[in-house]
Amino acid sequence: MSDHDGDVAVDDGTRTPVALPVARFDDPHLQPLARHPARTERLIALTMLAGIGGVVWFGVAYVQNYSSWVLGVSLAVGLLGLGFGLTAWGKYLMPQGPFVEERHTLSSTEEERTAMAAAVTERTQVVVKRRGVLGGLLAAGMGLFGIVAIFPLLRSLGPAPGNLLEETDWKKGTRLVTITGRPVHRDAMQPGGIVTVYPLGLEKTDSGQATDQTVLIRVQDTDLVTMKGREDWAPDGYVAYSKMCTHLGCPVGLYEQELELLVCPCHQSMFNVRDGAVPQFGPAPRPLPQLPLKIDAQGYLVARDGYNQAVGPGYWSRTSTPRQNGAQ
Amino acid sequence: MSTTDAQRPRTRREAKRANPYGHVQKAIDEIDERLGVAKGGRAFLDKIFPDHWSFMLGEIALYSFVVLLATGVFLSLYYVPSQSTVVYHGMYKPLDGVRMSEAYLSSVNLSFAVRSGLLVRQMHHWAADVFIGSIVIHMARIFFTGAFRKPRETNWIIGVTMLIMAILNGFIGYSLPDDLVSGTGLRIGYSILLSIPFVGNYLAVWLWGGSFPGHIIL
Repeated sequence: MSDHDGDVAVDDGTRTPVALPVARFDDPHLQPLARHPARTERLIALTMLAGIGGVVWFGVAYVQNYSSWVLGVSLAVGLLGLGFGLTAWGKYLMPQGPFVEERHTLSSTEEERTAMAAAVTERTQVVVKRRGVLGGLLAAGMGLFGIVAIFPLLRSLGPAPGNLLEETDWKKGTRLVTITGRPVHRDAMQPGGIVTVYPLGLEKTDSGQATDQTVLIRVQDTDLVTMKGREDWAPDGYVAYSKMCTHLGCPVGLYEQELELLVCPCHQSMFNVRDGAVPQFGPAPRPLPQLPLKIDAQGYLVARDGYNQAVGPGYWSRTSTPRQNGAQ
Repeated sequence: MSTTDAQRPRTRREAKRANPYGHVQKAIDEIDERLGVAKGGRAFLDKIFPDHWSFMLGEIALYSFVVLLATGVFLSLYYVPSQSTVVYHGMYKPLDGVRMSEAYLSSVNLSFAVRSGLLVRQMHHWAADVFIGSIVIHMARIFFTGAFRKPRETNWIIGVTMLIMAILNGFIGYSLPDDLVSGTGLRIGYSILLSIPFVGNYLAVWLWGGSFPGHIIL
């Protein structure tokens, strides 16, 4: 510290000394980039004043409870003014350089590394290996603790899924209702119509809206058979499919009426309504499960049975073959 | 800094020569004797930062993170992380009487009722977008200039980990308002989790507390 008369170059052992000369005004490195620094400074000062104005404006706007866009514009003027000022200050008025700093190595010296290796080797041999039994016991104890700790940890996560994912609330004879809770009469829809239906009483619940949601479509012909074995699943041309896309579970809510395609808004999977909702396009791997329907004595649509497979996207333990559930 | 009696400064000028940095030196001495920061601090202040614009991409990420933290704290004071259903009777009349989750209600209130709430929400939203975008471009710069090579492999791995965490955090933030896109995003996240071999259905059901939408995710 006493000889600060010379260069300020400091070698503290970790960095290559940087030749930062004491300010000499003739040094071109220390000259600002601006040709007329005083003029530039005034410009920057103006910018910063505008910034200060913006900040004050923001404060006033907040206190006076002006609308959001005033808050946004005033804050933008404030921060941009100060920011542009700061950037211009650094670029045009500070010493222009270039300055050089050599890369310093990360590694320690040769001696330090040798000493480290010696420490590791010798400590292990002398201190640890001599008491091999203790080391083994400690390792065994900690290992066992790790294993037994898994059980409370697993249990704390919650109950196992079971067949939560396999089943929906649709049962034999469940009435189809719209979001307002109205049952669907056989005369309620024209061919080409589509409505989202839920199991009666569950139309406002989370599980009803997420898992049980089903699209009900009416097609022109009254004897529609979507697949072999589904001969009586679509009475009066009413056909129902799970609304959960088999790709990622988005609601398949778009209906291309002319082509009779159900379209998923997320990734544009298309399902052919007429052929058992087999995917025609897009990433969906499987057809949408079809809900077997029938018409009850009062003329309302009910489920002939529940879905015969898990609805929605796939998972590892998903049963791939449809359940035989007496729908026939 | 050893000063014997003989060297004790007699004039102000001499005192200045003996200790040219005055109070600053004193303060730094006090701090350094306790924390030992002078050496690293000087290296930090003297560090020569590359002039090329591409080195600023990391700064953009850093400062958008600062904005995210500040605005996020503000938002968290008003946001209610609850899925229970309530009826809206707030300032935004078109939604009057609509049943919605408490989380969504608090988001609507943040936009319409909380002073400067919409501004802070928008700042948070855009900062999150800029954050992830700038990280990606920053990582691309590091990749294409070979700055991930020895001895900086650890830095690279930390960077990739932070990018993944930023994306996950972005997804969580996207899900919080419980609006339509949140629900769709959560639905897709749930389905992606479900698709993991062997453990997917366990992970999804545990994280959501039952099958989608569950009751604990918010």
